[in-house]
Amino acid sequence: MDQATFVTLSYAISSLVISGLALWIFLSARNAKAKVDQLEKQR
Amino acid sequence: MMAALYLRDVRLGFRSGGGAMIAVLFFMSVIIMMPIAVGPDLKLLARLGPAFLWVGALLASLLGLERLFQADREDGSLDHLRLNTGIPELALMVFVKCLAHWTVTGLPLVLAVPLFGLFLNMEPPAILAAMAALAVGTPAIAFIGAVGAAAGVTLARGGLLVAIIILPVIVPVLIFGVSAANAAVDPSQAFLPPFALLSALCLFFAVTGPFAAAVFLKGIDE
Amino acid sequence: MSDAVINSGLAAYANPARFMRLSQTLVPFFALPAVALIAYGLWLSFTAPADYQQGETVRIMFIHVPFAWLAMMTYSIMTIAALGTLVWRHPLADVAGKAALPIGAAFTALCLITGSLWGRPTWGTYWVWDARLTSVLVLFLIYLGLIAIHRAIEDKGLAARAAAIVTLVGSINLPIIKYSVQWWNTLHQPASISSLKRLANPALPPEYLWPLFTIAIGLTLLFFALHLTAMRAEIWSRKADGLSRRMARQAG
Repeated sequence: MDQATFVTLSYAISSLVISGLALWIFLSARNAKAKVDQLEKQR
Repeated sequence: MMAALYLRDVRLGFRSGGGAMIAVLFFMSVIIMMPIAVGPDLKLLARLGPAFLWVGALLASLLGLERLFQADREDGSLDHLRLNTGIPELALMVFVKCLAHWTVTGLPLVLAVPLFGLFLNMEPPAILAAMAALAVGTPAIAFIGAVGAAAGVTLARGGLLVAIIILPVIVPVLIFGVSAANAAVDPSQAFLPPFALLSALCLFFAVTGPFAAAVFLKGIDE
Repeated sequence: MSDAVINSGLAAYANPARFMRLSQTLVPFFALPAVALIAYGLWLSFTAPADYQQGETVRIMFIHVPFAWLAMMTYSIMTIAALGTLVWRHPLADVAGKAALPIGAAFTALCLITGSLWGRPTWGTYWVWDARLTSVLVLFLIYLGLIAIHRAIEDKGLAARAAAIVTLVGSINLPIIKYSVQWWNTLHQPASISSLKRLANPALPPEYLWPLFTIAIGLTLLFFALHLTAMRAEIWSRKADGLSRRMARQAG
C-alpha cells in the first residue's frame, strides 16, 4: 500500500466511527425520550 | 492492635492449606514450563529469565488473593468491621492484611528467586536485580489485588469482573519491574530509574489500593 | 428493596430537571461550531504541504494526536465524575461517568487505529510493544472493563460506585501515558507540543499546527455535545425505568 492509502484509510475509519457514535447517541437519546413520553401518556 | 492483626493473618496464612507452599510450587511450575516451551537454548533463557520470573511471580501472587478477606467473612468479623469501622481505619486494616498476605505468599517467592534464577541460567547480578525488583513489585500487586478481593467479597455479581479489570493496572508494575531486572543483563539499560519508578508505584498502590478496597468493603451496597 | 430502587430512581431525575433544561440549550452551541471546525480542519489538513521526511502520512497526525488528547481528557472528566459519585454522591456524576464511557472508548480505539496506520509506513510495523502504545492499550482495556461493570451490575447506583472506584484506581495510567515517551526511549516520538512554553517556539511549523488545533478544538466541542446528549439519554432511560417500575407497583 502506498502512503496515500494509509492516510485515506485512517480518515475514513475515523469519520465512520465518529459519525456512527454520534448517530447511536442521538438515536438512543431520542428513543429514551419517546419511551418516557409514552409512559407518561399511559399514566 | 495492628500488630496482632498482622500476626493472626500470617499465622492463618501459613496454617490454612499452606498458602506459601502453594504459591512457591505454582511459581516453580511456571518457571519449569518456560524452558520446556522455549527450548534448551541457554543464552536465550538467560536473556528471557527476568521476564519469566516476573510472569511467574505475577501469576503466583494473584493466585491466593481471593482468600484475602475470606477468613474474615467466614467468622463474621468482616460484617462487624463494615458496620463499626470508618473508612480510614478500615483502609489501614486492609493495608496490614495485604502486608500479612505478602509475607505469606510474596516473600517466599522473592526468596525462591535465586534457585529459579539458576534454572534459567541467570548470572548472580541479574538474579540480585530480579530479587530487588520483585521485592518491591510483589507488594504493589498485593495492594492492587486487594481491590479485586474486596469487590469479590461484597458484590454478588461483578466481583470477579472488578478483579479482572484491575489487572491492566498492574501492567506498569510489570513494565518497570522487568526493565529493572533486565538492567543487569543488558548493559545499555539503567537499573535505578525503573527501580525508582517501581518503588513510587508501590507506594502509590500502598495508599490507593487499601483505600479503594476499604470503600468497597464499607459502603458499596448501602 | 424496591423502595430504595425507586427512591434512587426518583432522585436521579427529580434533581437533574435543571440540567435537562440547560443541556437542551447547550448542545447546539457545542455541536454546530464542532461540525464547522472539524470541516474546516479537514480542509486545512488536506491542503497542508506534505512533510519532506514523512511525506503524505504526516496528515494522519492531524487526527491521531487530537484523538490521543481526547482519550485522556475523557478519562480525566470521568475521574472527576468518580469523585463526585463517591464523595458527594451526586446522581448526575453517576450519569456523567457512565455516559462518557462509549465516547472515550471510541476515541481511544481511533487513537490506536490511526496510530498503527501511521506506524506501518513510518516505522514499518503496525504495532510495537512500546510503553506509549501499551499504556494507551491499557486505557482502552479499562474503558471496556468499565462498560462491562455497568452491564454486569443491575443496580445502577451500585454499578456507578463500583465503576467510580475502578476509575480512580485506573487514573494512575494517565500520568504513565503522558510521561511514557520521556521515561522510555523507545520507538514512539516525544510529544511535539509538550507545554505552553514550547508553543511559542514549537517543533511543528504553523501550517501543521493550524489543522491540528482546529481539529482538536472541533473534536473537543463534539465531545461535549455527545457527552451531554448521552447524559440526557441516560437520564431519560432511568426515568423510563422508574416510571414503568412505579406503574407496575401501582397495578400489582
